[in-house]
Amino acid sequence: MNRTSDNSRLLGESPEFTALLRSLQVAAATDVTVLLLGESGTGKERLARFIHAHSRRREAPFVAINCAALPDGLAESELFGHRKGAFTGASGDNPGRIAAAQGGTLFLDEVAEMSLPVQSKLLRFLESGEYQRVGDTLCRQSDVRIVAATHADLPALVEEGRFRQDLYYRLNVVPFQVPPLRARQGDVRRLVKALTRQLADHHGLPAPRYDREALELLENYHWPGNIRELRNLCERLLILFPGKTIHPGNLPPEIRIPGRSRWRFVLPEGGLRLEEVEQELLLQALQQAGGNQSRAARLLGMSRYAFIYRLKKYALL
Amino acid sequence: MEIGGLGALLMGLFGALHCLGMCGSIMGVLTMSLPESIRRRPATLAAYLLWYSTGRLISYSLAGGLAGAFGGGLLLAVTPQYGHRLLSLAATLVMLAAGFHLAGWFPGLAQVEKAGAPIWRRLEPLGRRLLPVSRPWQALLYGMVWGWLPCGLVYSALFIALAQGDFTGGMLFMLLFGLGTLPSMLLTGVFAERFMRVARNSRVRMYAGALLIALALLMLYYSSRT
Repeated sequence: MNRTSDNSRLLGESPEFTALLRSLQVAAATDVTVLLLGESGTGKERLARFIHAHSRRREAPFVAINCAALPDGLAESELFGHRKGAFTGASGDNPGRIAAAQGGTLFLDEVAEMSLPVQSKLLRFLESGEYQRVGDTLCRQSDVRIVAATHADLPALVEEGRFRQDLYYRLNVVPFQVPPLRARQGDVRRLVKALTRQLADHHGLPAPRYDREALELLENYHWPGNIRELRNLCERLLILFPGKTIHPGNLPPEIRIPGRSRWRFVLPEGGLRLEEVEQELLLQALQQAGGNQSRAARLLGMSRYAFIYRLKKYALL
Repeated sequence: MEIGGLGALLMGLFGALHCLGMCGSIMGVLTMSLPESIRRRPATLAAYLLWYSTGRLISYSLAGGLAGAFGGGLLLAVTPQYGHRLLSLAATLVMLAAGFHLAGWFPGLAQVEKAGAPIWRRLEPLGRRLLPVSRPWQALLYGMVWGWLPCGLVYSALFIALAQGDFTGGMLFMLLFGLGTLPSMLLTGVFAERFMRVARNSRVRMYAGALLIALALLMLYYSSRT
């Protein structure tokens, strides 16, 4: 990760954010398992690095693993490692991330996305510190501090049977709520200035200025994508208006027109089937409209004829 | 009518709900980082949690005493005749602000936390050296450090302690405020997650804030009649 984003995600002087950092400093001084809860883009990985950097393990490795980015079959071998020949394609030994983090911190990002079989193995590791590589009979020990993060509602996933209850209790030892950007008083203004400066240095462009009204609009926006969204906007405006003054008219409509929220959908890392999404939306529209097809069609911005055509296509009628 | 012992207790009792976002996690860390041998025995665990809080209360009391003494000096120096009344009124207004803050209608009060940041920067490394705690004296000392953690509500209480006008009054006010925070803090230590969920509930916090506001308004009403 480059220096620019490294610095940007820990910027903030709002009471909400500094209070969190103070609590994390206390947690860092111990070996307690930490669970970071918060929306996407709030900088949970940066905070995990902050914990590591303030802990007695700071000289040892910090290893991050994004559980959402791992295909089911690979998750176990990535986490615990495998022996050469353990499965097709295992052309060499892989020590795994737990071994790589020996003595340091293992950061499990999007831990809710982990499959149930891997959850069982992780639970065993958390309870005993023991693990086995795929295709190995040898039981190994590792001393790592676990920091996990998720934006998901873990108790709800436990209820649905998609997350192991015992693992939830193991991870949820000390939960920390990471505040979303909209709840951080005054930080949007500070971040806009700091990010613009950093990005301008990075791109070698003169930084644009923001007029008062533009800054006010940015402060009042609800930032569903949090700091990640703010950073992307700063980068876009820097490239479009280097060295100029940003007025409200230069901002995207969802920020410029208060109350208008852009519909936002984040494609899961593992991808999806578009047809399934379409079917789901058709059903949800019908449900919201109380079974009235004309109203359901209007909710999806299509004619009743097009709506019925799609219902028939998916045999939903 | 001044903000007396009952006000201090209630402020601590209801106000602590707001602080659980930060202090609740710290209490959770301090509890879970105790050795397994201590955590396994409920009586020993409870004793350690009490040591932490005793340390915190000692710091609050000391800060309250100093604030009270400073307030007394200020009264004599500025307006000996009306000073006490003015400070008392200001203290009630601060309590009103704390109520609005707790209810989530005045988040700006948290900005006063910045005032204590320099002290915390010096004390925090001392506290870190005491972790992980395995002896009662470490828990007591860590609690004393923890007492200086920047907190908008504690600073509001300190301002009211200042209005008490002398060392003893200020100390007692902050001691009672600290005692008011005990139930929340001890419950957090034992039932960490479940209790924090309740405390984080915006409706619970709103009711607690409304109670503080009602108390402050009642005091304003009585002070205007005397």
